[in-house]
Amino acid sequence: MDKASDSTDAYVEVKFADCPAQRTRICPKSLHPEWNQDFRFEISKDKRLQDAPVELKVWDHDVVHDDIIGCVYVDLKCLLTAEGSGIRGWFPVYDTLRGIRGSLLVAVNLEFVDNVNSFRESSVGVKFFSISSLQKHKVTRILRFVEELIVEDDPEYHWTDPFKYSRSTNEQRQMVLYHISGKLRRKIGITVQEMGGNAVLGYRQHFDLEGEGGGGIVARGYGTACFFQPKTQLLVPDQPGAGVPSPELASQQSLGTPVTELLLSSSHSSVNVPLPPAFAATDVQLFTLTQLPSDVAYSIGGLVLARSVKIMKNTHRRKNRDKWWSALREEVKCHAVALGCEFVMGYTETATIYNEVVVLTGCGTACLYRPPPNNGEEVGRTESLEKHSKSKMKREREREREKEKEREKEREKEREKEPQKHSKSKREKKKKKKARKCASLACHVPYTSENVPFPMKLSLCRVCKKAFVAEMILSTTELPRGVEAEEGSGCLLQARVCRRKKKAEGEASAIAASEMIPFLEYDLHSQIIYKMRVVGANACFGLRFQLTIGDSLIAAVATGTGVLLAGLPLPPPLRIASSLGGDRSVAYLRQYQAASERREAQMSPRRDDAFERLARSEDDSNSEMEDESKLVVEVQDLADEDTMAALLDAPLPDGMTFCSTETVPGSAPPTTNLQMVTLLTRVHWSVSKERINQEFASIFQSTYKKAIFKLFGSMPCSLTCVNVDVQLPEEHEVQVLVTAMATSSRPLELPPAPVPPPAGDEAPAAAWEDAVFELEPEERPKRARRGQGEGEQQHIELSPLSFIPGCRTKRYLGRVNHHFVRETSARDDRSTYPHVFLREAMNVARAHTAAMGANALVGFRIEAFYLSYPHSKQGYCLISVSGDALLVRRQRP
Amino acid sequence: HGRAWGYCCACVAVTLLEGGFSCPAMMEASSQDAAIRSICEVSLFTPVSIDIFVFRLWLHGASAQEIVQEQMKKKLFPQGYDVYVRDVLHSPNPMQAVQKMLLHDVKGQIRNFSLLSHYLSDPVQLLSQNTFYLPKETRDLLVEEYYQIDGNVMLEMIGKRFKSSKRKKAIDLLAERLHVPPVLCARQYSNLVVAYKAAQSTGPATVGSAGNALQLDVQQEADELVVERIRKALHVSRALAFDYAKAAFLVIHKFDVGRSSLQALKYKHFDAMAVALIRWCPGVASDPTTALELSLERSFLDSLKALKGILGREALEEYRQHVLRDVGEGKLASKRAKIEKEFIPFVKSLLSVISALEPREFQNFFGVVHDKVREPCKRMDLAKKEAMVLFRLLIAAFHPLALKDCSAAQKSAHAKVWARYLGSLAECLMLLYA
Repeated sequence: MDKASDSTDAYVEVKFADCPAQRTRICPKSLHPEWNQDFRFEISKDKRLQDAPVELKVWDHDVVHDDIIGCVYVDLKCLLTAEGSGIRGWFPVYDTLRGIRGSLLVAVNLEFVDNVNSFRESSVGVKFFSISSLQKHKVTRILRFVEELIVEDDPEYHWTDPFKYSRSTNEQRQMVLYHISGKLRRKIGITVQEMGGNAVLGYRQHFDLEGEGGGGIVARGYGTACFFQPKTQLLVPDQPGAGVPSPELASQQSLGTPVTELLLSSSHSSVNVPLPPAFAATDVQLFTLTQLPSDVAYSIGGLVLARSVKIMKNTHRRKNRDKWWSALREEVKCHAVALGCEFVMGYTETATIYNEVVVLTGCGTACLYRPPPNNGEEVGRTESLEKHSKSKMKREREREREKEKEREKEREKEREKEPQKHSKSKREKKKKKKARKCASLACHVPYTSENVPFPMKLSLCRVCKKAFVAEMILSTTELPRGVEAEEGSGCLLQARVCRRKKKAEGEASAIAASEMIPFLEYDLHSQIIYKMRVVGANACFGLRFQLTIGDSLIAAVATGTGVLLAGLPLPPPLRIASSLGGDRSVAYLRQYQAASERREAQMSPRRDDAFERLARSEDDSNSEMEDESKLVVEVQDLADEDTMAALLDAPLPDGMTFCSTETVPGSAPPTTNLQMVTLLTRVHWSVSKERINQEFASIFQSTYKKAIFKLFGSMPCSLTCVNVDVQLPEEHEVQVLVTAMATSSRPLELPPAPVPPPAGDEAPAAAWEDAVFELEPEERPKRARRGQGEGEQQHIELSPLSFIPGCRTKRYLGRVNHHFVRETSARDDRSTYPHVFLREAMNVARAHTAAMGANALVGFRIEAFYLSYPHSKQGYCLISVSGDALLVRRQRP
Repeated sequence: HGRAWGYCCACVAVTLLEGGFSCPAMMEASSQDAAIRSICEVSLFTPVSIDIFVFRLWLHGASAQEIVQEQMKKKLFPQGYDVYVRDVLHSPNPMQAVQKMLLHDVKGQIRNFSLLSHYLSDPVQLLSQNTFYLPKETRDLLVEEYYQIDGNVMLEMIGKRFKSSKRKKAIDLLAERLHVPPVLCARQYSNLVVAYKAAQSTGPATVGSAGNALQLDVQQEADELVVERIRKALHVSRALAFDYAKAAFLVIHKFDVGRSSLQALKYKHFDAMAVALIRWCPGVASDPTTALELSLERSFLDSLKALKGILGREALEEYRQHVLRDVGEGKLASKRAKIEKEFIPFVKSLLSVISALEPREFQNFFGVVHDKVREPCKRMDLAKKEAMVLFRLLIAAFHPLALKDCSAAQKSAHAKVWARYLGSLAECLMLLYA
């Protein structure tokens, strides 16, 4: 910008894929340039359309050398799915050093010239959703887990980087992210098309910045391939049923081929004939979905989690990583088989990177498909299970040989199963058709009595009193539809464990990490179980695990929603016995006593339940498990005490609930969105020896407190979808990023946000469109969508939930995914940088959503957030956000 | 927004002191949390909720700490939060905890305001931005607050010229002198500039420009009222737009308000005088908000000059007779002798003020009025109300004058011009009495 005249001589450079760049004319001395120019790019390879965004660079012309004003990236992928439409709107002009500097009115239209290449490299027509359930469409087939991994060089660590301007590196890095995220989706799309799907649900994308250790950016995308039909078409088919009972067929339609095959074989196989070898680890399906369509009945088997510690090397990067992940998936599948389950739901893959060490985690919930009552299809599963556990053992033995580090994973897997061990025992099983109709079918154990994979304690379901249930359930999924939860029992449970770690390099560091992780994992799980007992929950849904490694610390956090399920037995109270003297321990013990007595008082009338007693009396087979019902935790040393003292979180005010699931189990569904909450806390922490866990917990507590304060005035409300991202960015530094959605079940008294703006005579359109520093390369809008000239700003609702409460979805418009690199040295407050950066990122996401013709962005997720302060007065940040653009309309009450 | 960012630098070192547990052991333990030192704390809530109270204080340059003190005084925090902190979290000092939360919240709000002020400085952008969603009511409220005129600052801006190179320094100096925050001054200045430009935008319209289409365009624009133009530029209410029109009027004509004789006057007086003077602008019949532009109407000035010629010695004598007759009947009876003595010089000085309406002389208008109208009134020993009565008599007595060489129509036109002139002049005089 020309300082003296406060104006620019702006022009725009338009680039797309590998086409030569084109330029607009220069619009001299203006902050409101108008170009009204059209550019046409002809692309022969359709994959380019998906890989690259249109890049619009705004320059200020100067005699000496032109200055950059900013960039706009327009993603064309949303056009590929919509039928020949275009996008048009005001896009923020973003500069990596100076943020948003204006806006640009752009219209992009896509036209397919009819000469379709049969060897298509693109996957036009496959839709990607980060949410796992669609309101508008009916998912008729769930196909399979799809994934893709791409490794790209990171320009930040390229050898030329020190010689370049930071702006050009930043832009390159941003562009790399755009490119690889496009490429990921294209490749996955092709796979999906090949298997006859048309959508990917529960799509997740991760960027692992391997830094100087690995030297690249690893982009991973995975999701569940599905086939859906619009609702109108669905009403017609689906009841042919020649010879086969119709419910069977319906189920066949609702789950995809592999699972269905399995079901068919099992239902047709006569009694005593062992299952075909279909039921092997390779056939276990991994689904990223956290919720299945309502007509699919299934039972939750248990949590499956596998981790592996690897050292990154700069050779065969892609091949290696592919190998690592597929080994991990195998592992998860094996666990699922061990639990007698056919598929894994709510599956996520995360990577934790520390220097050259990477810890890969695969985590999900093993489930068993339950077809509606029919002939005895479950008999004979015993043999097959034994067979599979044998094969699993063999496989494990093979893996033992592979690497020393991998052994850790095994041990840690054992740890992971430990809580389940605590809680289950053998039991006689009688098959009851009635049990299949029970509302809490999902909670029933998916085993027969003979083939219980671990010694576990089973009891009768409190709802149907026929089938058996485990003592408690841990699950990464949402609460299954129809399962009853006791009213008001849903609450946030968060287990946090932090330990000191020795500083080490290379292999030593990997070994150190792999030695610690199992213990960490054990602590984490026992903490969750303790917390469930403290709050009186017998199940935990929406569990998310995160592990993070820093220079001198290693921390793990598990976030879930505790629920008291109607079907499961009531949780026994937690008793703590301390062998340590002194006032300190007495103090928190007293607190627990008070808390658990309160719980007990609420539950005691129900505890006298006949079934409860019956269940206990039948427990003689496993007498050592008897005492488990009154779990007594021994506090023997200061470390134990520290963990125990951090168990109780500060109580929330009445009328406010936190949870990690989309809706609060056991309370009315939300009717209105209040606010999306993003909390970032970064602290300098000089770790004390004895109080490490308490201090760690207090960082989270102080973060939540801010949300409590802000939402205090709008109670009753609930903070749902609480998602925590913990990082240990520097030595002695902890960073916690919490995202959540505040909703309320009160009717909204304000006018609803996403309604079309009311007509008014505030100002004619021309006045609005002449905003300062708004640059228009295309023709003047007759009436731009945005603003609409009526003095009303269009509201784009952002939400991490999969729906907008009180609204109906009219259309799905595509995925919005943006990447930002931002650097600044202008401001002096460290809280200001991230505040501004995050607002800008949301701003850009909103603008693109609006340009697509949508008014809401659901499943909004901050996929990557790396913040660093290279110098005291400098901030660097990499943010990647994504979501699904929707057009919603508010429903009349 | 230098100052606005400045607030935040103090917030780095917030320790997490209160633990929120009931037992004394916990309390003691949590006070050790000084081991944890905050580096950055950000809370974003979308859609943004804006506290107008905080916004107002921030606009007046209050620091985060000052705002929090104000809020604590007025108990402006979520109702019942202190009770929650005391009874549920068992904090030993609930008010301190509340204050801490407020401080964090206010800092967040201030960061939002700093981002917002960019859009507020050019409200047309407020609609197109996607950073904040603001419902119309909130937006209007924000704009209205942002564009409130601070009289003291505005008074200093009138008649001054800030060179772009020295502007910042001059504004800072001004702020120091007036004991107001520099942001406030800078904002008042830039707001005024926008209003000034909007008001002046008819400038080229009066100049005949080439090209028919353009001419037509310009013509249409010229027909738009000044107030409307300002309203469109600033997106403020009609009333506030008129306030800016008045300020722009004072600035455009570069009135000299610094004279010693005018020392006692405040901005509100000049503001009211501007209303009186805008009545002489084109497009104004009775309502000054209908002004089409802010320069004086040419035809009005011409007819005033003509009037000066018409009111010769004989006419003045006759005029005096008429007025004195009316004075005898009314409230001014006691001052009759003085009025009789001073009348002709007084009307002559009233006429001489007309020459001060010329563009070059206009800036000294207030001074001229003081010398040539206020002083004679003093000599006549007229109180404020009496002077008002005298002006009414002057207007009323003009009609029956038998003017030479004048048709009835011309006479009534002269009477109208005279009434328009004396009416506004009287208003100015009244304000000078303050």
